[in-house]
Amino acid sequence: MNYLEFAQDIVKKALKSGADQSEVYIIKGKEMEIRTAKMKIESIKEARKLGMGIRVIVNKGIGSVYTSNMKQDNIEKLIDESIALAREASEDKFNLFYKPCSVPKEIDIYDEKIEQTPIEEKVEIVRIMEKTAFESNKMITASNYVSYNDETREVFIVNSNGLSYSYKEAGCGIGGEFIATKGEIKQSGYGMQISRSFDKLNPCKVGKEGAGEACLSLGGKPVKTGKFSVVLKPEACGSFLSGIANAINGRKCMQRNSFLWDKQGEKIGSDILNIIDDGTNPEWAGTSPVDDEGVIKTKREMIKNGVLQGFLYDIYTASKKGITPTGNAKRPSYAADPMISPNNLFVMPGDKTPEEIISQIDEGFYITSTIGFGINPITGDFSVGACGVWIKGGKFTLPVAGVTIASNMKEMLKNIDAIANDPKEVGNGIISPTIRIKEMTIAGE
Amino acid sequence: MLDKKEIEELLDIAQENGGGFAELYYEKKESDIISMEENKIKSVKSGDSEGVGIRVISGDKTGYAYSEDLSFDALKNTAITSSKIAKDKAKTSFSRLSPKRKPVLVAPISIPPEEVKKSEKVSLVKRVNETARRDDRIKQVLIGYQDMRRHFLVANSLGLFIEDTEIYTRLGTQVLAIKGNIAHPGMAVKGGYIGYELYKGDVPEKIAQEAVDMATTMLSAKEAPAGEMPVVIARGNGSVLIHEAIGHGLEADHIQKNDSAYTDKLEKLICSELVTIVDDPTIPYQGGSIKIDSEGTDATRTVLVEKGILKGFMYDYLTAKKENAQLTGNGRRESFKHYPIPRMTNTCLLNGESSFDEILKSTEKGFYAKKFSGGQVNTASGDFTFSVIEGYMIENGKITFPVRGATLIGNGIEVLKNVDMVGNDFIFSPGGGVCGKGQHALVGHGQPTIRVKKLVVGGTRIGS
Repeated sequence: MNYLEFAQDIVKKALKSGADQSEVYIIKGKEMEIRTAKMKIESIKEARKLGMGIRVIVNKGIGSVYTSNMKQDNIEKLIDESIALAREASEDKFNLFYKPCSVPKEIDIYDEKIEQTPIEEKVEIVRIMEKTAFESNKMITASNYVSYNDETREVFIVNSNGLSYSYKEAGCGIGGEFIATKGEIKQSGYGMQISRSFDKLNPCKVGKEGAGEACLSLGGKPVKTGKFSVVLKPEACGSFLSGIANAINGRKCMQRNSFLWDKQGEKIGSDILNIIDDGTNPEWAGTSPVDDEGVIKTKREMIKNGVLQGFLYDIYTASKKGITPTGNAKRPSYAADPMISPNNLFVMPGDKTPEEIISQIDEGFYITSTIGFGINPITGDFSVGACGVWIKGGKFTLPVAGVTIASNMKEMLKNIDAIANDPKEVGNGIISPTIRIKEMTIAGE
Repeated sequence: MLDKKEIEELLDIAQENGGGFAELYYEKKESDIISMEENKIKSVKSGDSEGVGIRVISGDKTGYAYSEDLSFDALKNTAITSSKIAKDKAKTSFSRLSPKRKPVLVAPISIPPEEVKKSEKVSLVKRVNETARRDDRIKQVLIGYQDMRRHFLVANSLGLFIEDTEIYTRLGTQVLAIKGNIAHPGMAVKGGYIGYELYKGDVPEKIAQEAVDMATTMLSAKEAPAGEMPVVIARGNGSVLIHEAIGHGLEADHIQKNDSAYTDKLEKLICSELVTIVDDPTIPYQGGSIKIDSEGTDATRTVLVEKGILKGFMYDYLTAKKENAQLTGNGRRESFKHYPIPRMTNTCLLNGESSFDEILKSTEKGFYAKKFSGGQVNTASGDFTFSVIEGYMIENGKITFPVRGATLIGNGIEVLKNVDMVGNDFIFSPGGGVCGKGQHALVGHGQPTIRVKKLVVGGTRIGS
C-alpha cells in the first residue's frame, strides 16, 4: 500500500468535510527485543506496527483522533469525529500546520543490516554482553536484564498546506543491569549503547561497563554531609541535561514553567559550557530530515560560552512568538500530539580525559548513577540520590551510596569547571561527556 | 472479532514447535483526552487502538509477537513468529477452550465515560480552570482529563477463555503560583478504575483548590534541611514510598533473578512489627482495582508483610510456574504490545493505632513529607529517592513552616525497620499513579500517617 497517497487522500477528504486545515501522520514499523538470562534466551519479542493520527483545524481550534484501524470504512467516521472534536476546542489563531518552504535534505539513517541480520546473530550479541560482564568480575552474580532491541520505521507526514513527505529510519541498542554481591550486600550497575549502525554495537564494552559500575559502588556507604567537588559520568549527566532540555522548551518558557524562561542572551553557565541541539548528525537517534510536524531539522547553538542563545519551538509556540519553528516537534507515538523536545542535545567535549579531571580533585565524589527526578523546573532546585565512589588525592577510595546531591541548576551550570573528551549518547536525545562541578551539597550522615 | 474456533487455531499454530503454553491476548482500548492551558482548550482527542499479542512459553523462554493488523492471515503470521521460541515438537498440544466467561462484577460503574458528551467533559475541565484562577497569585493552570475503556480477552492452551472491560478516568491539574521572584507549582489529581460519577458535585472545584493551596502555601517555603532526622510521612500520597521502596522488591521476577533485597527473607521478621502491607486489587474504584489480571487470573488480596514478617510475593504465570507457587493475579501488561510481568495493583500499608496528632506531638524536631512528586528505587540494593514537592518542618510537636526542594533518600528495609509509629487514618493516594517498569501499569496505593525514626533528608541547608 502507498501510505503517502493514502494520507493525501484523507487530507483532501477532511477539507471536503469541513476542516480548514488537515494533517495525517502515519507510522509503519517493525521492532524486536531480545533478552537473555544465564546465557540462555529469556524472551524474544517481535512486532509490526501501524497506526495513524489525524489532526484538523476548524475555526482555529484543533481536534485530533488516532487509530490502528486503517481500513477505508473507518476513515469517514474518523474525519467526522476529528471535526466534531475541533469544534469543542478553543479558538486560537496560532494553531497552524506547517507550510513547507524548501525540500529537506535526505539523511542516511537507515542501516538495512538492523532489519536484515538474522535473529541468531542478534541473540549472540546479547550473550557476548552477558558473558563479558560475568567474566570481567567474580562479584557479578546476577543480572536484572540483558537485552538487544531494534526498530525500523517509516514515517509519513502529509498536510493540506502542501506538505507530503516520508522517510525511513532504523536504530538499535543494547543494555544490561548487572548485580554485584558481597555477602548480604547487593549493588546493580548499568551498561548501555544506542546506535544507528548495527556493526558499531560493542557488547564486550557494554558488558564490562555495567559490571564495572556495579562492583565500583558495591557496599557503598553514606559520607558526611558537606560541600565537595563532584564528577558525573556521561550516564549520570543524563538526568541533569534532561532538566536543561525541559528548561529550554519554548512552551514551558512562555508559561514561566522554567528556571531559564527569562534568561535568553544572559550568562547562565560557566565559560567552558557549550551545548548544541543537532538534528542533522546521522549517527544519533534524534536525527531525521524533518520533525513530526514536517519542519526541517537543523543544528543550533543553545548555550555558547555559557550564554543562553535561545529556546526550542514547535509551530504553535514559534508562530505565537513570531519566529520560525526550530524543528523540535516530537510525537512519541502516532497516538500522541506533537510536543517540544530536543533532537540531539550535545554537550561539546573538552580536551582532557576523564582520568585527568578526576586526578585534579583533592576530595570529591565520582557519580556513576543518580536516582530520582528531583529537579524543580521552576526554581531549578534539585536533590537526587547518587552512588559512586569517593575521590581522595585524585584517586578512587571507598564506594559511596545512600547520599543525595543537592544544588540549584543555575548554580551547577556556573560551577562546571571541567568537561572531558568522552562524549556518549545516553538516551532521551542527550549526548554528554564526563562533567566536573566545583562544589555541590552532598547530604549523607 | 475472533471467534472461539479461530482462537483455537491460532493457539495451535503458536504451539507447532511445542513449548507447552500458548496464550492469545486481544485488546481494544478507546480513550478521550482533553487538555487545557493558558485559558484555552488546547486539545480534544479521541482514539482507539486494537491488537493481538500471542505468547509462547517454552521452559524459561518467552516468545512474543503482536500485530495491529487483525486480518486472520496477519494473525497466523504472528502466531508463527511466537512459535519459533520453542524447539521441542514432542510437547506440541492442541488447545480446546472452555466456554467464554467474564469475572463477577462486584463494583459496577455508574456513569460509563463513553456515554458522557465531549462538551460535558470540556466544561468539567473549564471548571477546574476557573476555580484555580480565582486566586490572583495563580498565573498558570494546566488541566488534563483522560478516560479509557479497555476491552480485553485472554485465551490460553490450558483452556482458559475470559474477557473483561475496564473503565478508567482521571482528572488532574498543575498550577503555578507566583509572588515577586518566587514561583511554586501545586498539583492535585483524582481518578482510578471508576466512571464519570467520580466528578459529580464540587469535585472539580476541590481539585483546583487543593492545587492552589499547595502552590500558595509553598511560596513562603524556606530551603530544605540536609541530614538525618525523624520524618513523618503523610497518609495517602505518602504511600508511593511503600510502592517504590518495598513493593517493587516483592515482585517475583526480581526475587527469582536474585536481584532483590528481599530474596531469602520469606517468613522472617524483616522490619518493624507495626508494619503490615497488602496488595489488594479487590478494593474497588482505586488506581489498581482490576477484576482479573491480563493473564485472566482472578484478582486476589495478597499479604506481603504481616506484622513485620515477610509473607509473600507477587507473581505472574511465568514466575509462579517456576517455583510452583499460587497465582496471585499480578500478571499485568500495559497493552497488547507487551507481555505480562509481575506488577502491583493496590498496594497498602494498613492502619495502626496512633492518631495523627499523637504522631506529631511525639516528634520534637523533624520533617513532614506531605506530598511526593516522584520517586525511584534500585531493586537490587533497595535504595530509593523521593522528591518532596510539599514538605514542612516539625518543631516541638507542631508543623511550623514549609520547606522546598527536599528529597528523601534511604533503603527500603532500613526505613521499614525504623517505622516507630503507624497512624489510624488510612486513605488511598487520590488518583493513584502510573508505574513504570519497562512498560506502564495503572496502580493504586494507600497508607495512614507513619513516622520513620530517622531518614536522610537531602536538601541544601546544612546545620540548623
